[in-house]
Amino acid sequence: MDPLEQQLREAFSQIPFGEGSVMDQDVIYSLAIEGNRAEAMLIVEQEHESLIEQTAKAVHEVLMQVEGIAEVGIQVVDSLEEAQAAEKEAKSAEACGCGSPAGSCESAAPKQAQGASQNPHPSRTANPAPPQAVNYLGEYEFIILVASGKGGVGKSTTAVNLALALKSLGKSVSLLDADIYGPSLPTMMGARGEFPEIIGQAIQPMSRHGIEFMSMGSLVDEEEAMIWRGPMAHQAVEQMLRDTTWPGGDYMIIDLPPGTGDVQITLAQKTRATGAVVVCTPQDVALMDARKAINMFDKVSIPTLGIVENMSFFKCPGCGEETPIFSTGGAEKEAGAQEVPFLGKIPIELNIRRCGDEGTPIVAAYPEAESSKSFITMAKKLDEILKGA
Amino acid sequence: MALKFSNKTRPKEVFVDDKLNILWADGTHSRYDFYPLRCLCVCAACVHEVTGEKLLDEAKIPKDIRPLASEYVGNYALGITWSDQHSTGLYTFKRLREDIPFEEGTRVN
Repeated sequence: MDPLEQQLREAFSQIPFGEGSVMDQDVIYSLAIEGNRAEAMLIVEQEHESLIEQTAKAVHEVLMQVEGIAEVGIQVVDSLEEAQAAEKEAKSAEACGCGSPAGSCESAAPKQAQGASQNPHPSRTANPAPPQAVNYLGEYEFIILVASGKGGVGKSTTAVNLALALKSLGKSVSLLDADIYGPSLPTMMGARGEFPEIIGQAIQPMSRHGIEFMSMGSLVDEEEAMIWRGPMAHQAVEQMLRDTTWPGGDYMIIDLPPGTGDVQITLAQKTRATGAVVVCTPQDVALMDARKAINMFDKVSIPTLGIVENMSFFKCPGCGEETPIFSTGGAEKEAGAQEVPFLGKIPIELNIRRCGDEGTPIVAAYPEAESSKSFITMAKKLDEILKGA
Repeated sequence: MALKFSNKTRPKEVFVDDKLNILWADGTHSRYDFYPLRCLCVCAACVHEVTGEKLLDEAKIPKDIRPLASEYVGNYALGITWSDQHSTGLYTFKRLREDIPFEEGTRVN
């Protein structure tokens, strides 16, 4: 259940009706919210006829208080059968293409509670309303997608540590693991094997290191393989976007699966992402895939905010010599070529891996480590870029 | 470094009167006729996904077609539900600005 439904259920159970409330007497047959308009159908049996007006008024008031609702339509019928019939009629009215909201077409004739609807229905000739925006995560100022073309380049490590680095700068940050096929956030955040609290259908995000997060890995058994076709992947992501009680704040960091697939499209269509951070290693193969990722974001008008070069070099803990295991500087050059900001180099450090596996990411465990400093510099750069944008 | 993000293809406001109107972030006001816009739908039902062949029979589109509703799709496109009940088409803002013909309106941003 999404938070809004929860809120409405609570509000409706405060409205007295007969021997209980509107909620437990099953007065509300249906409720649909489309854009800024809410449509409710109430069943009030004949014996309670005298309550119609006050009940409709109370429901109307509750709905009008919901943020983003500007219009409320209420229909009252006197039996379940009539409600079902009215619903059917409304559907066919929609299909008749007259353009008026369900149930307001002449063919549907349930009685309208007097005074319940504030705005008259738009007439046949009225212009349609301006476009509606379906955008989840609207409660965040910035939505950052952490992406890579290739897998295994340290995307989740970057997402987690970037989130913690932003947190250390005093930002409020949440984290969503959209890698539904191979979720690694529960391990990295130290919540392996734990399940979130679910109230109704509302998933309560887990919380670690001062960050609220959700992952498919926290919803299914660890050993379970997610063998999903596109539509399932889409639904899984949409569920985490819609049904999680996100607290809102400055930053939502989203850890994407590798590549340019279904999950990326879902996020591009269902959120208004601020931008993407593309992670890659200095190797040519990784760079090529990073280019594809940038290209994909370009197509869906999500600006690439910067490139991160991970596994940039290995600094020998003994002698201090730097070894460019996967070559070095490639991502920085690529950023220049693509005219995208370069956010920084992350060295290969034993502790990054160890801290990730142990559930306290390096920025939290060793804020003085060279890699932690890189993540924090990266977070500062990102914040500046966004302020300037 | 400035973000690579063009004001040219970013909409500021979209509204419908006798045409579809888009006010762009760069100050341009574009007005699109409904019928040609409907005919230019590139969804999988209107244009073959692999061959690119046009599957839509324009003769079957009512001349008085008009949008019933529309929605923003992420940052990049406009989804339109037409009065012939066709609703699967997405019109990217880039395409609307760069490829689809429009007449310039006079509304000042």
